[in-house]
Amino acid sequence: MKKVFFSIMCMLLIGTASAQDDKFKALFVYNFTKYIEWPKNKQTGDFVIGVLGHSSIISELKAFTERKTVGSQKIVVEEILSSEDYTKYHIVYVPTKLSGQAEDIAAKTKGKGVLLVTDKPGMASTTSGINFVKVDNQQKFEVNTTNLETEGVKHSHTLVLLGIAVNN
Amino acid sequence: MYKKIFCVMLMLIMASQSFAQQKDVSKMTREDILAMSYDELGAMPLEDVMKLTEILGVSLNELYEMLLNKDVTSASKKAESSFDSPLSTTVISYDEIIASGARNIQEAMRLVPGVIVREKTNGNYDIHIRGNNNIPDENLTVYTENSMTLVMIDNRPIYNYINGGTFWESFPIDIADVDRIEVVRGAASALYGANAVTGVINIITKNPESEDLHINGQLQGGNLGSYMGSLNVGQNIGKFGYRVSGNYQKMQRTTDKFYVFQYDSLFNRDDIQTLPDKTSYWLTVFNPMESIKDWHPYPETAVDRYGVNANLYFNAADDINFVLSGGYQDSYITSSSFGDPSISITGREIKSSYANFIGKAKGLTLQSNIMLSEQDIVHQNVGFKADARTFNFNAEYDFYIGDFNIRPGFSYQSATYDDTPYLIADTAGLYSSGYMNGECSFNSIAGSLRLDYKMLDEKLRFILGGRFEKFDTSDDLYFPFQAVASYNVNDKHMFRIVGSMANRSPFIVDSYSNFDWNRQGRPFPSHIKFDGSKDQKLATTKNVEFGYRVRPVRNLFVEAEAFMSSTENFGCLLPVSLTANIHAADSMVANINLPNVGTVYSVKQPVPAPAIPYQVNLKYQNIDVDAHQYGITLNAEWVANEKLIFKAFGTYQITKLKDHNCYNNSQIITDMTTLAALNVKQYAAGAIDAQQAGVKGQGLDDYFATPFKIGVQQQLDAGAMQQIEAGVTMQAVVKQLMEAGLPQDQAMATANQMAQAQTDEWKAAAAQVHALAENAEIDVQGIPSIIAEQHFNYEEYDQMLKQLQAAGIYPTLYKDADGNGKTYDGRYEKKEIEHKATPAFFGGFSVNYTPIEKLNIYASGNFYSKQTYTTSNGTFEADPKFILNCKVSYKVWKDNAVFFNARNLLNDKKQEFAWTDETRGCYLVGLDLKF
Repeated sequence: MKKVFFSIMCMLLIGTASAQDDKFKALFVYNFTKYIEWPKNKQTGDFVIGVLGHSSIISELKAFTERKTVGSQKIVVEEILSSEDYTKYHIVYVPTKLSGQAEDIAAKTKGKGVLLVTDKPGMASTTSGINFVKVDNQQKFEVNTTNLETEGVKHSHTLVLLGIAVNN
Repeated sequence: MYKKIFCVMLMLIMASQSFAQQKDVSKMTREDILAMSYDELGAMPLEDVMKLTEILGVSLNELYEMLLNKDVTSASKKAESSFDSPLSTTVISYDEIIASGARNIQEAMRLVPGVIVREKTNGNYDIHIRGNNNIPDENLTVYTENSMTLVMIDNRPIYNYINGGTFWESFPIDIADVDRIEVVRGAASALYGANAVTGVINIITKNPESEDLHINGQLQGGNLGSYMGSLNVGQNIGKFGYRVSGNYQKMQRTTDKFYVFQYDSLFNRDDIQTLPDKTSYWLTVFNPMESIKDWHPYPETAVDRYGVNANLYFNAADDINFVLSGGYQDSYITSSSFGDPSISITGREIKSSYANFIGKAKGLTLQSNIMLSEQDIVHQNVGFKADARTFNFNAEYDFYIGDFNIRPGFSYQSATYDDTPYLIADTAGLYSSGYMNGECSFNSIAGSLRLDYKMLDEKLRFILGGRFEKFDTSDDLYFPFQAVASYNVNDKHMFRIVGSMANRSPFIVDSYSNFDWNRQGRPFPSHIKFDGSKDQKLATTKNVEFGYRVRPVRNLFVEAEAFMSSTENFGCLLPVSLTANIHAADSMVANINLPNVGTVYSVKQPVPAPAIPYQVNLKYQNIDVDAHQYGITLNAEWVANEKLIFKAFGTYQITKLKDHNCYNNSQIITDMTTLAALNVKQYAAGAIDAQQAGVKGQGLDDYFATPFKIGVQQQLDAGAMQQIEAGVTMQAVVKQLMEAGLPQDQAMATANQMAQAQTDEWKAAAAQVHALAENAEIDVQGIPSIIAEQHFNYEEYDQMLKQLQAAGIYPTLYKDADGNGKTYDGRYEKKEIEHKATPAFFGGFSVNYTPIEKLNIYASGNFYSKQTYTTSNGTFEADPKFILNCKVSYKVWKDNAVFFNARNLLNDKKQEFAWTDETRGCYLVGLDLKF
């Protein structure tokens, strides 16, 4: 009885704690599309946002991007469930628990026009162009312009102003 | 033209809408944001999204501060955040109490770290901060209850000065009145005066907050005959304000039976009156001179109480305000007994009224209050009812010199108890049947000073507080103090160290007991005299604490407090002398009427022993035992988000008793009686020797000068007196035997045999004393008794044991459970033992979950490890227990909610307090009101 009770409470705890965070992270990711310019070869077809692994942010992203476009490109959100060709994605979001794979993805997508968005303190200064952080419990994001250039995407200066600029 | 005008207007409208929208974002509330759809959010530029997260974040921060860093006033007597509190402090808000489902203020204490809350009967609790109860052990059960924690309502002590502790049911207020409960763990007499030994519980009531009428309260009902309600109404009118409140609570016990110590089982109330005493079958367990129906007119009632309060407020200016409060309460409970009866729980009825004034002007605070009460603390037990009057006056002035905050103070306290209104005077106008037999009081005056110095941008803080207190019951001057150093590193880490000393106040029982317990008709002794003593030292504790608080992130609060204390000058009522009846003789004939036949059987009853304690005198004395306590309390609070709040806390502590005396009063009395008989024999032998030596009549005075003296009692001997009252109860023996299956005639015969066997045994033993006495030319035929007086000196117990040992008698201390003697090692040693009455591990948790705005689920649990009570009634082991509670409430209109409330959800029946009722699940439905 006690175990059941604790299990239920823990599940509730984890579920509600992350739901709101996911919603705003998804909203940020969607907004990044307005401040990033992808290479010409990726301005046709669907605009694909990949989320590494099973993550609850998927449903939030789908809710925000439904019937939305980047330019004329229809936004599609996909789960990345196996090590594959990451270069087809415009954005790859790496959840905190899978941050260990970010470096590998960064290496494989270098210069291919893939915005790598990570979610672990310190990642922007090493691996990704954009990284989510919480400051005084407020959702913020770090921007590493060098990494963005390495990824092969161009950024708006406004994005740097709105985020927290970091360097390698 | 029209097109241009139309275009301009359109642009103006769009511009204004755009402006309005921008303005809206910055002014949006957290609720507004959470209510926005995906489309609305998705349409916002990133700049606005950032603002939204800031608003959400700020609101959450406010929530965190509100939940994790509440304001507290009790630790420094001024508002400060609990994170900065220099002492171990916890604050429980009204909202949390309501959410938790606690049925009364007592139960709400289960939400506080470091507090042990044990249910005695349904809705009645014993509440301890850190323990140190049941000291001394092997004594009255009442010593197992808390007498070390000061409980106050708005800084007004609600304290039982009879013997310490708090009669929680006699609070005039209830949950509806509460704004918050502040708990300070650790010695705090420097701030609050005597009795804040292990800590302070200060219940702060609401103030009207606005000119809108404010109503809050609760109504609920459920099983175990539970129905209760409390309502609070208040508002400000200009500079004035008022608040009125009322509460009613009724709960039934989980049984209507009563535990009888001698039988180790429960009996119906009406059967107890005639229940035979197991040690003397012709007597009853219950005092035949009193009626158990009077003692327990409502055997099924656990709590039946109500209270009303009225408060007037005058806010002359921001820093000048006055509050005048008054109220009345009437309560009846059935709970653990104050006295030493043969049953474990008794009734308690208290009616009281109070008036309290608090005035604050600039830095000056004046508080004065009086409480008048009528306390029948062992319901209808003659001698235990009294009128009480307590008066307190406090004045403090708070001011600054540079960075020094200085707070000098003065206080006066008076507590008066008078039992004579409930006693019948004899022809000379004297009282003798009460506990005090007169008006008794103690008064104290105290001067205090508190220095509070902050430096390094208020990060480093030093506090030095002290108080000189003089009680008129003794010449001693007490100086409780408090020294604190705290360092708040960066609002995330706070370290503190506290050294403090605190003392209890004198109690009426300790100082003024004057009770002749006439036990006629009950097992010996026939009289026990209780005497107080004013010149004893007050229990005092020295306490050191190390505290660390950390908020690694804003929504997480973790606190650790390590504490160690040493408490001395405990006291209790110990034997000082007894009068033993050494003579044995045939006495009375008990007549047994055979039911339905009318035949009269005769059973000869003897005087019960060759040596019996006839009268025992007990006196309040300090004892050597010191309690050394070491422990740590951990507390963590996590606001996962605005919907989910999690708390967990636990305390691990070890209490050791040093210089512990492992005897009890019964053992001492038995040894004293044995020694008295031994002395008589030696006297007789000495007289014979003198006679043989030809010095007849010489030297007898020498024998009188020995530690005993021999006298004669020119009245019916003690045993006979006892039996006259109790002879009729032989019928109860027969009845019991018949219920056990014996036919009536066999039951009668068995009863006779039992009595005769004892008679023969006692006669043989008595004959020896007779012979010796006759040889000493004492005319034993002409007198019914030989009375020997034996004195007991606590410090010379060792000598007494040696004397017994020398005569080949095993002291009771050195007998095993089967009564076999062990060789006395020649030196009585005080030992160090582990004190197990306070559980070594106790704590709790809570989860407050609000999945949607209208729905709230609050689950909480408490647990404690095994505890062992050791009293004069024996040993009681309370098994480890986990208590789970849950309240689910749904707001049906604004903040008004319907709810289901489960206390002890799993219906765990294990007793939580020695020899009190089994607990049961209590399931209620009700209504929370707030508008």
